Amino acid sequence: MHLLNLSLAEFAAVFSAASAVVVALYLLDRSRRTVLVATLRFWNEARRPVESAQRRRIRQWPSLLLQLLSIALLLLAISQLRWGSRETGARDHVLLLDTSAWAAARGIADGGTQSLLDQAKGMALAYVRALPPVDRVMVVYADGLATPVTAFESDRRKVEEAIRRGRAGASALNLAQAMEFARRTLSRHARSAGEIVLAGGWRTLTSEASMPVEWPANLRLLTPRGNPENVGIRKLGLRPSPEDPGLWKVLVSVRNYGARPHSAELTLLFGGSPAGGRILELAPGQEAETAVNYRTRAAGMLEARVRTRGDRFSGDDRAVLEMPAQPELKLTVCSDEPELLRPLFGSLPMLMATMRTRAQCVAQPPEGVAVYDRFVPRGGFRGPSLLLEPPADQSPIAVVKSGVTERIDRWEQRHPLSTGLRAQDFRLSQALVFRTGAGDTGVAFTASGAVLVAREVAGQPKLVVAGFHPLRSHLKFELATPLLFANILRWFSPEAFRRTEVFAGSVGAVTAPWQTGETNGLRVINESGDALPFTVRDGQVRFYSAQTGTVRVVQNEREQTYSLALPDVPEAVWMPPEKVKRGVPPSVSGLAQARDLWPWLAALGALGLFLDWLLFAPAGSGRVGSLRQMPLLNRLHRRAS
Amino acid sequence: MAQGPLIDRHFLERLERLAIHWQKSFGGIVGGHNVSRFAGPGQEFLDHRHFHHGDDLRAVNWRAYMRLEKMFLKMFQIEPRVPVRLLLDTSASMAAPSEEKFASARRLAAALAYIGLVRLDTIVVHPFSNTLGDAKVCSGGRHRFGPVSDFLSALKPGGTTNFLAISKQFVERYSQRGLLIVISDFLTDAEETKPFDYLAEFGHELLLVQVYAEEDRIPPWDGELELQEAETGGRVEMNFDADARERYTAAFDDWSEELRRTALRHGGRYAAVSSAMPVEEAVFGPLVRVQGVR
Repeated sequence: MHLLNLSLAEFAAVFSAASAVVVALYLLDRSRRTVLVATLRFWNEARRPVESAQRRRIRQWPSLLLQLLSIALLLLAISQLRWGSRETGARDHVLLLDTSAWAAARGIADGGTQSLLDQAKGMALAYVRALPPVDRVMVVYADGLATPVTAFESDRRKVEEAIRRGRAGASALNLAQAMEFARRTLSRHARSAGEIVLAGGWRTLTSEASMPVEWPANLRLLTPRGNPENVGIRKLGLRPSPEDPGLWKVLVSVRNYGARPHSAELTLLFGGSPAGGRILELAPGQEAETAVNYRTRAAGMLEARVRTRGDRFSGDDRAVLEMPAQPELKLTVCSDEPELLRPLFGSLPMLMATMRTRAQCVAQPPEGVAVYDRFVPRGGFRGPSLLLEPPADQSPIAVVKSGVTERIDRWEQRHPLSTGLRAQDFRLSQALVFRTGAGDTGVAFTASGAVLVAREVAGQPKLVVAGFHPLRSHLKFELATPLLFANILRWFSPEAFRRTEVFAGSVGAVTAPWQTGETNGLRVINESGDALPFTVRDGQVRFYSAQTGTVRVVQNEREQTYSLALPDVPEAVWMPPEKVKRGVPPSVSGLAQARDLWPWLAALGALGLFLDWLLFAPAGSGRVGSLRQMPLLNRLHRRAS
Repeated sequence: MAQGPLIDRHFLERLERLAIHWQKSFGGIVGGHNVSRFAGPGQEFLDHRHFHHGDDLRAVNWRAYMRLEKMFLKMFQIEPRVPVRLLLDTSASMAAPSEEKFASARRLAAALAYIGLVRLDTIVVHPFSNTLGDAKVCSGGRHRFGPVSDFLSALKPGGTTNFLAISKQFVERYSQRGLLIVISDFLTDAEETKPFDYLAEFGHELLLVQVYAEEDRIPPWDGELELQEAETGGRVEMNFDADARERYTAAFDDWSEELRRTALRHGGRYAAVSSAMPVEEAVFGPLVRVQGVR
């Protein structure tokens, strides 16, 4: 017999305090009271002398004893007096169900028909059913995060339902975090700490060095036997070739997680059609990376498959990436001297330049980006346009001075057209100087004024007017000239210059290479467009995503897309210490069940207080007093008094 | 604090069918509603008597004189108008253990006054404690009830009760006999009914209305009590239990019975009214039963 809620000392202390209060109230209740009466005449006839001069004295011992006994019974009920040994008392357990990605692997037992998670669920259910009914269990799904799905629950139906509901996720098991969560939960919220039960726990993110030195003494493992073989894709990446605009470099990383060497057949499919393949010989624990070139400008789905004999985890055998279309900038050059400009525009790989004469451009105005060499189209501009040395009287931007021979001495650094341009020795000859108006921005300046002006007006195509011809003078020998043209075309069509890289990875912490070092405008956004927190250090962007999906790292014209669909399979196999308890102990199911006595104690306590009120309470007024007038109760009361 | 009316309108309407009744014959001028055995200028024949010098010749029975050659005088019953005197106890005991008893007594007095006013009786309210207070005379119909109600509402309990002194004062001050309604708890230290004998022997008809609180008859307390008398402030300590309660109640009932016997012995009536009883129930219950009103 023991108390579940209080120690014996606590019970004695509380009972003493309650007894003192009861005795004080008893004495107060029985103390002499002053009553105002109409006459003393009849009182004198009923008078009985005061028995003792001592006023504070116990006169109704049965009443006091009955009250104290009732209080003691109620206190014992609150303390949850139980019949049986303390070991059979209710305990609280934390059941960590491994729902990491690896739990979806097919196990070795039962011919591989069941997944590791199914086997772990079976063992967990057996353990829960073996527990005494008064024990409570908290079910926690453990993967990259420890997620409690029930409170400490004694309803076995709810616990079993929570276990059955467990599904393998995409992240790896963070065992150290799960253990810490279970330990803290037991210490803070459990009535009586029971066991930490880990159902699963094969592979974990945590290296052995970061594992706790002292494993909890109450740890129990319900781990299915064996470590299944697996060869799977670790990474899949797409990178456009900087030299060849239609060429993609496909990078695939495959790892052998098993204990035996395997021959893996890697197949690449683009839009369902074969796009390449390799045979990879992988030693145990070896990770091989292979690159395949694939040429296409179209968008589509690139799929990588790995097939291995004896593989028991299919989650990482397939990875799919959405390959974006390679952007292409179509440019029309209207010039009667096409040979002059052809070398300049032919140097950019994403550029498809069409050379047309002035007459052809007048007859059929060009669509898209256009360059007008020393003339201005009469019908206006249909797309972003670059005017080279336009006639002074036809220039869309007013010319204030012509025939200027000066050096460019200043670049407007805030404008994108002058990105990277610092040259001060741009010597111009016979240049035009413009007057800038609304929407105009001077980009290059001589002592006389702006010689290069960019116009950006809402609802109208962008326009750049150069008061000089860069290839008709010695400017064609300047290194800054191609850069200036590249800036102009990037300003016209930034999408064409965006460099997109696509990677397939696993959920969790992702490290993306980011060599630029520039963090202005850098954003990491998920499929929903929500920004994810990230850090940049040592040329790498790090972020964490617990959900599968696509995450984009974007900065200006550069974009990396991460398709986080691959399951996170940890490399390390966890070897639990030998002293840790394993399996469902038969003694748990054989424990005798303790019997609760508190309902009976509470009922007896309440009955005692009611009897005391009935037999000993001073005759009150009103209805309570009228109850006391019942013959039987009156007789009982008189006898007790 | 604003006080409500002593009696509500609905109850006043019910009271209009009642009349204060007395059994004795009292002398008085004509105009009442209770028959008297005294001869006078009434309508109902009462008796004959011999003619004496000075009698009114209009009352001589000339038919009897013609037949018997003797002069007989016809006498008639009168219905005299007799003032109803209402003695209301305002001693401190009426406010013990609570003022509920005094409030009940005031409501009862108001009800009787209204009944009398409706029947065009003259009602004289005498508050008393150790002496007789200033009387309030009201007559002339129901519309004169307002001043009586205000008078009763303004009364405050206080002082001691001395029935013997009161009865002497009353007899000395008011010589006309009539109905005397005493509304009191009759709870004094004096264990005698002599004052009521004195009043009855003087010629008054007594209607004793004992208003008591439930605590006066059956004290609800238990254990050690320190009792303080409301009027004198005297204190007594005692143990009180069920047995003592029974003795107390028996003594109280004995005193009530003694009051009742005293009233009946002199041709009067006695009614006991609990303060817990609504005044409507008290009037149409105990007072009608003893024919104080009918």
